[in-house]
Amino acid sequence: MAVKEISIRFGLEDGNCSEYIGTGWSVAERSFRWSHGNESVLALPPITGAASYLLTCNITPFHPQGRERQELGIDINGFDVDQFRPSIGVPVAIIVPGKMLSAERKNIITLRNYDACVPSHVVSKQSDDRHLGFAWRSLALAPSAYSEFARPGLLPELVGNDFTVGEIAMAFQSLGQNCEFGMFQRRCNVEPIGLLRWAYIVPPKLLSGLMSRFEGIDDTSALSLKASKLGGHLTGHHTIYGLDYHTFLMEADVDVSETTLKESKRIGFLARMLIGQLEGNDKIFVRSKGFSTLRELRTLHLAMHVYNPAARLLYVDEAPPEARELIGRVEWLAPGLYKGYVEHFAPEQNVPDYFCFDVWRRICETVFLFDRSLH
Amino acid sequence: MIGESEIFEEITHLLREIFVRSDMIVSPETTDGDVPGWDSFKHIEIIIAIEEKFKIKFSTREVDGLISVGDLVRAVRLKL
Repeated sequence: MAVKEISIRFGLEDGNCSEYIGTGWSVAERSFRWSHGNESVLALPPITGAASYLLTCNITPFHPQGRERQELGIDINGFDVDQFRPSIGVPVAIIVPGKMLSAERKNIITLRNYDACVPSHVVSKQSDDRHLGFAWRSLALAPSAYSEFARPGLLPELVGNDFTVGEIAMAFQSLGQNCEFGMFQRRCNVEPIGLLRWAYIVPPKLLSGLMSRFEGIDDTSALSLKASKLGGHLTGHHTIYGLDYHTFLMEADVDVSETTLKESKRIGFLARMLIGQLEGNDKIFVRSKGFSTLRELRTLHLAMHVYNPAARLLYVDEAPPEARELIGRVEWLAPGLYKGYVEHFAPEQNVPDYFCFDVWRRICETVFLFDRSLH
Repeated sequence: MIGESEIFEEITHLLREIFVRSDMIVSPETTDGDVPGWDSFKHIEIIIAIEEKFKIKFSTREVDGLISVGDLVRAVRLKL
């Protein structure tokens, strides 16, 4: 019987993969199972109901020191779907056109482990002689709003509107690259509160925060405040979520242990506000840098979909040297997923003086007006 | 049940503590623009203090609408 979606977990603890796995798999371990040899096969039941599916995988490559990350190929029913090098700690999201899947027969997924290697050959004192590919934690295939026909296209720049730059800037919320977007909002005379507005968080930690609803972020023992060598500005560092942020406090003005307690409460409160914003439909989220491929961007967008299937994400990057005409423009990548281009990002040492205000304004205005035109 | 005037008194007391100004004049119309140092960071501190004082939690959307002291009083009143 055909199903509409499928979710497979590979670990011993909560695994359900035994009915799906074919050749090329090792025995299950506590929370994952290694793909083994050159090919690992999964046989999924007939699936039906959508023009487009999202295949999401939580995997970690076997990655001995000094070796390049392994390459993975994915083939479904004989169709080459993708071939890439998964990053450590970053889940994978891939669009699968519905026409590749069968509603009558089993769907055979072949995972090609191009660089599977033997631990005993590459790690000293290792006796494991399996050809290890990837540690698979989960795989899911579910209908997606992404269209198989979707192709990136530039959004038109609409001239003239009734909104102030402040109203437009308030419609966005940062997902934490650094304080450049926060500075842009400040220049627009708006000061929205936001967990990640003045923060830096690396992509895997952002994804894990989104997936765990930032659970435990208010744990005081996970937060440390450190004074900068120059000036004594206090910055916060969260050990669980790898969050580095400005407190805008001076070490000389506060009791650091009392402030750490206050800051823990503050970031706990801000995480709750962020989750509320993710669940709502008022904000367009902004991220720059760190998600270098479309696949990684889709993964971030997908993590936001858990809160709200209509979540919108604007990713901003520097325009490549051969396409400077993209500066200030926005590409539509998929429903709710946009990519804008700046000339350059401001240097970390002096964001206020060097960020491209007019370019950020054009980008935000374009996305804001396009987004409103859809509702 | 606690009334709006009592909530207003409690919030006034909290604001005086947070801004360390026992002579601070507060009215329902008071907003961040009227109080030196009431920036977005202080705003969060005020809301957290109110949540703890009255043992309530505001939603994201409610927080977005909390501009003046009167807004804070009414929001607390609705939660109690």
